[in-house]
Amino acid sequence: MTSRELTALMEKSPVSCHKALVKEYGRYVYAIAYNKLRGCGTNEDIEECVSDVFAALFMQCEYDLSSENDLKYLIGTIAKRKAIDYFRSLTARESHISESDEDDMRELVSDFSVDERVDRSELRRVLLDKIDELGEPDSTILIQKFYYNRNSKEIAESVSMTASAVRQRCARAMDKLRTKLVEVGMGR
Amino acid sequence: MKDKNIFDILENAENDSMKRLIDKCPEISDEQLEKIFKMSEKKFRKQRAEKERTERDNTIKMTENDVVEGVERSKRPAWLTPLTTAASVLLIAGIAIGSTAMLKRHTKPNGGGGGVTPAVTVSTTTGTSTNIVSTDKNGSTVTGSAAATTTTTTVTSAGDGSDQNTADTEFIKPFVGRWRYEMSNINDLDVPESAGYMGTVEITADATYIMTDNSGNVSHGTISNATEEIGGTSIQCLDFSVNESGANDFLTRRAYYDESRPYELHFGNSNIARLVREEHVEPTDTSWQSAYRKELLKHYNKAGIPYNDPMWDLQDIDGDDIPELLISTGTQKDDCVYIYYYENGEAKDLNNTVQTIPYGEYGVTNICKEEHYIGHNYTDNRVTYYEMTKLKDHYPICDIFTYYYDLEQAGETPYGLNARPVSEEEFNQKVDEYNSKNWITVGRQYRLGDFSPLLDN
Repeated sequence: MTSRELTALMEKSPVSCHKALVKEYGRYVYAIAYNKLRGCGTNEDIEECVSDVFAALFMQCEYDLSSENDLKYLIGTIAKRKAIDYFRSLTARESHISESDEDDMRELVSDFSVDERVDRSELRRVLLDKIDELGEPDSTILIQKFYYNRNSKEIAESVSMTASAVRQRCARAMDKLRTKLVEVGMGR
Repeated sequence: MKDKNIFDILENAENDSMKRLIDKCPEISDEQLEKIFKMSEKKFRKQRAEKERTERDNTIKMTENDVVEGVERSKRPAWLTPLTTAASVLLIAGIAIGSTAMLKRHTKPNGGGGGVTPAVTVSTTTGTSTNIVSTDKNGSTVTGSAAATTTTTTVTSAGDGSDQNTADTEFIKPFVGRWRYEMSNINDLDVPESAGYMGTVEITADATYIMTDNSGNVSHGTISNATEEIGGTSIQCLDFSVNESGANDFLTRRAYYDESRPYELHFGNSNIARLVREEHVEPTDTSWQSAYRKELLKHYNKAGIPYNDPMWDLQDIDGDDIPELLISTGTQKDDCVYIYYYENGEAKDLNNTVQTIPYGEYGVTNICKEEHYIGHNYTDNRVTYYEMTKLKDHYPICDIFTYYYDLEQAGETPYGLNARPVSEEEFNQKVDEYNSKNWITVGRQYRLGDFSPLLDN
C-alpha cells in the first residue's frame, strides 16, 4: 500500500483504512514485535504491543501522510520503538535501564559488550545462511518450529503438507543443520 | 545443545536478519488479526478522545510538526487553597439546595408549562415533466416549463405553544414511536442480509426526533411535513432537520413513506438507507440463497485486502440439486477458491473438514460434475503435486499424490500418496486416474457485489 492509496482510503472510510492497514502490515509488525519480545513476553504481551503500534499508526493517519515516501519504513520504525518500550517495561523488574536512544536498542536489550554484539550478529547471519542452505520447505519448517514456536499442524497449513510429513522433514532437517553448524564450528 | 537454544540467538536481530525472519513469519489468522484490529481501534479512539479533550480544554490545535518546549512557572499564595476549597463547598451546597427547590416546583400537576413547541415547517413538492406552477414568497403564481423540475413551497411558523401548532403536528402521529435506522453495506437493501444497524430513532408527537447511533451518541432534530408528487401520485414524506451540530443524522434529509410497506420510511431515491419500526421483524429466510448471500457479504466486506480481484460462482459439485458456492480471491498464483455447501440454513466451509486448504490456484479450480470431484494439480522444478477430492454427502475425501525432487536427490522415495511413500507405478496409476476425469475449470463467474443470481428465491 502506498501513502497515496492510504490517504484515499482514509478519506473514504477511516475504519476500512485501519482494517486494511492491520491486514496488510499485521504480519510484518508481529514479526518485529515477536523478535524483540520473544524471550521476555507472552503471546498476549506481543499482541498488546502490536495493537499499540497500530493505534499509534492510526493516530499518524489523522495527519496527512501523502508525503510519506516509505510507509513500510514508517511502520517498521513505530514497531521497533514500541517493542523496545514493551521490552523495557517487561524487564523493568530485573534491571533499571535509563538510556532511551532507539539506535542503542541492541545494547539496551542485551548485556553484551560491542565485541559480543558483533560476534552474535555474525553467528545469527551464519545460522540463517545454514538454514537457507537446507532449501524450502525445510528452512521455513525449522524457523516456524523453533523460532516462532508453531506446532506441526500449524506449519503444515502454511507449507501445504500433512502434519506427519512436517514432523518427519523437521527431524531430518534438524539433523542436517546440526551437521552444517558443526562444520563451521557452531554447536557440537 | 538443545535445538531451541540455537534459535534463541535469532532474537533481537539487526535489519538484514530481521528481513529474513519476517519472510518466514507464519501467516496470522483472520481471527487474530481481527482481535488485534479491535484492540488497536479501541486504543486509538481513547488516544484521540484524550487529544481532542486536551485541545478543547486548552483551546489549542496541534499539528504534526508542532513542538512544545520550556516550563511555565507559576506562584500561588498559600491562603488560596483553603479559600477556594471553602468557596467550592458553598457553591456545591447552593446548587444542591437550588436543584431540590426547582424539582419540587416542577412536580406539580400539569407541570406549570415550560415546554417548547418546536418550529413547524410544511413543505409541498410538485414534480412535472413539462410545466411548472409555483408560488413565490409573496403569493404570486409563476408558471414556466422545463424537462423535469420539482418546485417546493415551504411555510414556516415559529412555535408559540398555541392550538394551531398542535394541529400542525398532526402529520407526525402515524410515525410516532421507535425506529431502527438501517443502511445497506453494499448500497442495496434488496439484499436484506446487507442491512446494518446504524442506530435507534425515537419520533415524538411534537415532531422532533432523538437519534441514538450505534456508538451511543445522541443527537436531536425536528421533523417537518412534506408531500411529493411522483408520476401523479402524492407521496407522504418527512423532512428531517440537521441536528444540533449542524450535521445530517441520515443519508438524506427526506424520508419517503410507502403504504405497501407501512413499517418503513426510506431515504432518497436509492435503496440504501431506511428507518424500520422497531417492532417489525423480517421473516426468517432459511433458503440456500440467503445463506450464500450472507457468506458472500462476509467476503464482500473484506474484499480489496487481501483479495485483489474477487469473484464467485455456483456449481452443483455433489449432485444434490443445491449448488455449492465457490469464492475466488483473485487471479494470481496464490489466489484460491473457497468452497461452501448448504446445510441447515447455513453456508458451511468445505475446507474445515480437510487438511489441505484451500482449493485451486490462480483463483480457479477444476471440478468433475459427473463423478463429483474437485481437482487441482501443478508442477514445478522440484515438486509435482496432485489433489483429487471426492465430494460425497458434503464430506470431502481427499487424495494427495506427490513427487519431490529433493527427496529423490537425498536417495529417498520421492513418490507419496497422502504422505505415505509409494512406488512410481502406484503414483502413475493415480495420475492416470486424475487425467481420465472430465475436468472443467470454475470459480469466476460473477463479480463480488453482484447478488442477482441469488435473488430469485
